[in-house]
Amino acid sequence: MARLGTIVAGTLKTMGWTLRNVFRPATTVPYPRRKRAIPKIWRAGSFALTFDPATGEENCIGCRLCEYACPSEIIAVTLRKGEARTNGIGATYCDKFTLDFQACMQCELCIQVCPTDAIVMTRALSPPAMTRDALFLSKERLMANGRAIVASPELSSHATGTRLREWTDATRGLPKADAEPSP
Amino acid sequence: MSALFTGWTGAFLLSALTLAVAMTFVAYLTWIERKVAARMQNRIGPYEVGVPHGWLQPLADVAKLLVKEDITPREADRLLYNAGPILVVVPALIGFAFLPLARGLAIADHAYSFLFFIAFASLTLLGIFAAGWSSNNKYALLSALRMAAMAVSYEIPLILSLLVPVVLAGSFRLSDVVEAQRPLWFLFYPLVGQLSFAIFLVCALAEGNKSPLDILEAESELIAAYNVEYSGIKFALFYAGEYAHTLAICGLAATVFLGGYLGPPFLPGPVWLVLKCLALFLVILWIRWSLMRLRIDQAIRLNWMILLPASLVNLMIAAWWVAGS
Repeated sequence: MARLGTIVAGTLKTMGWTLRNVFRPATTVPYPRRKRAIPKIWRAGSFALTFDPATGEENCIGCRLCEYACPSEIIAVTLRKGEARTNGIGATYCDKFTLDFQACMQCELCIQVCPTDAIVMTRALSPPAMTRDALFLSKERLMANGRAIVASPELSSHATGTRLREWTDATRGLPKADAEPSP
Repeated sequence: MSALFTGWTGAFLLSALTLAVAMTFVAYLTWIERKVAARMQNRIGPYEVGVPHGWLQPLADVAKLLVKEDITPREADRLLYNAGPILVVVPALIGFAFLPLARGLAIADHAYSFLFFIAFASLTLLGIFAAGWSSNNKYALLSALRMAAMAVSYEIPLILSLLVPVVLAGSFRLSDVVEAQRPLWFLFYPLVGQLSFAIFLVCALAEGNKSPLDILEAESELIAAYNVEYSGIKFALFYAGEYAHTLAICGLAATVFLGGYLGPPFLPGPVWLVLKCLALFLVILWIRWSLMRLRIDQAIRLNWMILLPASLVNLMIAAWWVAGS
């Protein structure tokens, strides 16, 4: 009999909640017409190859670390030697840089390993595409995205390799992983 | 108004009208259910088809189901397989014939219309069982067997609880039952009214395959239900049959508990009946989308240990009360 009381009370409580929900505003956002504000740490947009806005020189040095780091193996980079950059980050460039966005799982590993912050994710909603080809990001498309980021800085990614290394660097004020627990 | 609906033509007109209204309601009950369920879960439900709140969604669904491929499994029992949907829809719709729509206005105002209604409402079980058996699918068969077990159990308290208003009114004729409620609806009779209504509500959930007693559907155990193998328009007929059945049961409850077509005279009788029907349907929806499914043994035990004794005692109290007064 005591259990019957619990059952009845629980049932009424559940039904009270569902009734309350009916009179609360829905959380659904009718997407294409209305868009939610993108959070600051959003990282599911497209990709971009950055360049130095002062000199216009590409940041990618063609080191292929992103290619090795990519779990989906969708990045392909070929190295090209060229003239030395004026900002002093070397004289190597990427000849071809392709990223097949179809299989990308937004893990951001390529961005974390990049030594020159050359590849970044754009802080935007993932672009819909009608063809597979539209999801295939060639170097030209990535550079175009990079120019878009310079034009509108709110598109820029939250985490770049340099910034992540700063955050996880214990000497810059963050607690060590093996810090002594407080008594 | 009643004079228009006399004789054979009158009966035909009235049937056609009732059928059209009922089928429209059945189509839009799916929309209402999806909307209400969505709101209970903080969603908005169908929104895109039809400008205010996706009101054309039922039509789009019907059109979609009509053009879908109609598949019959190779090993299915073809006769029963094709008869299943019809056996589900037709008895559910026949039930509407016995509901009194206004004073002296019912398609079939038989002296035992209550019994006829119950009998036809129970016939849908045959269609479901035929579908489950003939599909040659173990899940469908299991679902049909569960349906038989549930129906055998829950029909008894359902009918016993619905018998209370009949006993109180002293007639099996549904229009007499409604007229007997002119002073006071049977729902408001002390104790017996509320108890039998509560028992009825639980049994209606089981009869209409609504959660928490939708154990014949139990999609986590039985994929979907007896209609796993059905597609296209036959599946749509099952769907329509289920909603028509629920609507008919709601109509019966509105008639015997909530005074049927009785109501303040600023609205005509049939409108009151429809409004009460919808209110009951919303209550069933509310329960359905709030509670989780019982196990089959819990559901059967709930019936035999609680509902059946309670409904028997309730009926005896009602009979004793009527005999004493």
